[in-house]
This record gives sequence, C-alpha cells and structure tokens, in this order.
Amino acid sequence: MSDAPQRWSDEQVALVDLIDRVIGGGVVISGDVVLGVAGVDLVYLGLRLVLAPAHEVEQSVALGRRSG
Amino acid sequence: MSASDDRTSPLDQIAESTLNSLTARVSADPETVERGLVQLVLTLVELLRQLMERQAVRRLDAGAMSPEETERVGLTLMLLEKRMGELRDHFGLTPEDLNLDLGPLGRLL
Amino acid sequence: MLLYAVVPADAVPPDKRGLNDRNLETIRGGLAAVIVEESSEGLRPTGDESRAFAEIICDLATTTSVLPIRFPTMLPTRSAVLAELQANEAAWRRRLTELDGLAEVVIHVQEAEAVHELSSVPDGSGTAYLLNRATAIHRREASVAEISELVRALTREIKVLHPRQGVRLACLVADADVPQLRDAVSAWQEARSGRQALVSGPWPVFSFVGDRETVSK
Repeated sequence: MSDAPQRWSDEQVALVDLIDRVIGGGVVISGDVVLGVAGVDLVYLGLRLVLAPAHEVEQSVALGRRSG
Repeated sequence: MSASDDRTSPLDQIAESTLNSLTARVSADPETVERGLVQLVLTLVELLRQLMERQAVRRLDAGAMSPEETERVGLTLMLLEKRMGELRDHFGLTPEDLNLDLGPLGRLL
Repeated sequence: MLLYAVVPADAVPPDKRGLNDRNLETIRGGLAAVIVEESSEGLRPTGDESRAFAEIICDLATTTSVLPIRFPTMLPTRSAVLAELQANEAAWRRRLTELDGLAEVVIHVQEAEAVHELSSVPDGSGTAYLLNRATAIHRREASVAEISELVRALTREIKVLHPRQGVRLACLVADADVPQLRDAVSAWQEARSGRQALVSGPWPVFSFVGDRETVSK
C-alpha cells in the first residue's frame, strides 16, 4: 500500500534524483564506516538507514518544501 | 578497536564496524536504532527476493524449467511478495523505503 | 569535519558557508584537495540537509572540477583528511582530469502500463505470476537497452540506477552535448505514445566518481 504519488512533476523528479545521488553516489571515504559484504557498502547502508529512511526524502519533496 | 587486525575474522570486522556506526555520532534512541534495523533487514530480504525472481525469469527464458517447476517457483515467489507486503505494512514502510542503491550488487538486478 | 568534495590542489578556495553555517575550508595535498567544514555533530541525510548539501556541491562545481563526496561523510581531524588525501589523491587527480567538462544527467523512463498488481493474478497460479513478472522485467530491460543505444554516441559512461518511478539511467555526458541528449530523449518519447521519458540534470558527476566500472551498453 504505497502512498507514493503516481506521477510527479519534473521538478520533483529532478529533486529526488539529486538527493538520491548525493546520498547514494559520490566518493566513499574509507575512514567512514565502510566495510562491505560481497563488495557492497553494507555498513554504510546500515548507517544511512538508521539515520534517515528513504521515504523522508520523498515526503519532503511531495510536501514541496523550499521549491527550487 | 582496529579493523585491520588480520586475526579478526571478516564477520568480526563487519560486526565491529556496524556497532561503531550504530553507536557513534548517532543518538542512542532505541526506537531509531530498531527502526533502522528493521528497514535494513527487510531491504536485504527484498534484495534476495528480487535476485531470486530475476534468476527464475532467466531460467524461464532459457526454457530450463519444467511446467511443474515453473508453477512451484512462481507460487513461492508470489507468496514471498505477498508476505513482504504484509511485513512492510506492519512496520509502516513503503516499497520505496526498501529501494536502496546497492552499488555493485544493484547491477545484478 | 564534514567532507564536501575533492577538488584539484590548485583550486581557488570557496568563499561560502556550509550546512553548519561555518566557512568552508580547503585542506590541500600535493595533487588534490578536500573541501571541508567544521561540524560538531553528526548529520542526518534527511531531505532538507541532503538538498542543502547538493546545492553547495552544484555551486562548487561552477568554479572548479569536483568529485562530490558521499553525504554525510565525517572525519574527526584535519590529519585524518590529510591521510585520505595521501592515500587517494593520485587516483582522484586522474579522475578529476578525466571528468573535466563532463556532467551527469539521469534519464527516467516510465511505461504507461500499470505497475503489476498482485491482484491481477486472480487464479493464484504460480505460473501466471511468474510470466507476469517476466514480462515486467523484459519490458524494463528493453527500455534500458533502447535508451542506452539511443544516447550511446553522446555518453562516455552509463550506469543503471535502482528504479524510482520507472527505469533510471545515469549518463556521463559532455556539457555541450546535454541539449542534444535531451532532444534525442524527447523525440524518442514522442515516437511512441504511452511512455514518459524525462531527463534531469545536468548534475555534478555523483555516479561516476570511481574508476570506470560501469559497462557502457
């Protein structure tokens, strides 16, 4: 029962892309809790999950905070 | 707490690093930690489900499954997806919550 | 310290403040430098903070080539940052040079057919379910292949991202080629009704900071 909107505006899509890439992309520094399982940054993922569920990103986009 | 000790098993290293990441610089709020763990676990289960589904489709494409096998595998995956939906609802998570960028693993999907 | 991005060693120091409202600093190695900000506590990758971070990165990228650092990455001291520089700056400098003049765009493709519903298999047949899933997966793969082929001439690297509102591909493109890529995707969308294709960006190259590991389809 997803409450995600079916169709988003171009701006919302772009914003989700940008935020997603900032968290999911970028250089990974070895000093910051990165040990992998099967080569995946599992521990980093764990940290991210503990700190901020992904749907917070989409909710803040859907609520249209700070329109860009 | 060195992670470079060769006598420490990889599992110990992962456990240690996970513990560090869960306790360092993060509030010790148990609810936050628990919620994060639930999400992590369900995400991993969802990853496995997608991998299995992917593999089943490959085998189907290759004609490598008998009709009985197709029915059995399909039924298992269908029930697994249904159960995942129930677990997500139970913990108040959306499908997007379990949709992580998995780096190299993501390319398996 | 919160780490923002890797830049060339001779990059002009930015004159701006970061998320913690402190001045951004540049810690220099011989070949590369890291833009950092004093940060007293850990940051959560919430929507608002991530967005603010992203805006700073985009701003930095207008004046210098950057390798964005994953958010949030914290190191305890300047010497820790210097240690990372020592270990990695040769590779980072090489990558900065390779990425000069390039940007990232994300292409989204969403088919009009409804996302598969479990309830669309009323007879509870495992075979029907699996066939249904096979169709969805094939459709996704076909979209990825089509788009990749479409933009192949314009992109250096392509990386398939996890789906969000449809299929997503990150593409490494020369700045000058971005309009042409947009036009190509737009035309592709028009050519067949029932699908929506969208190009977001151009962004700094978040998805391509590592050594070339992706397969250009």
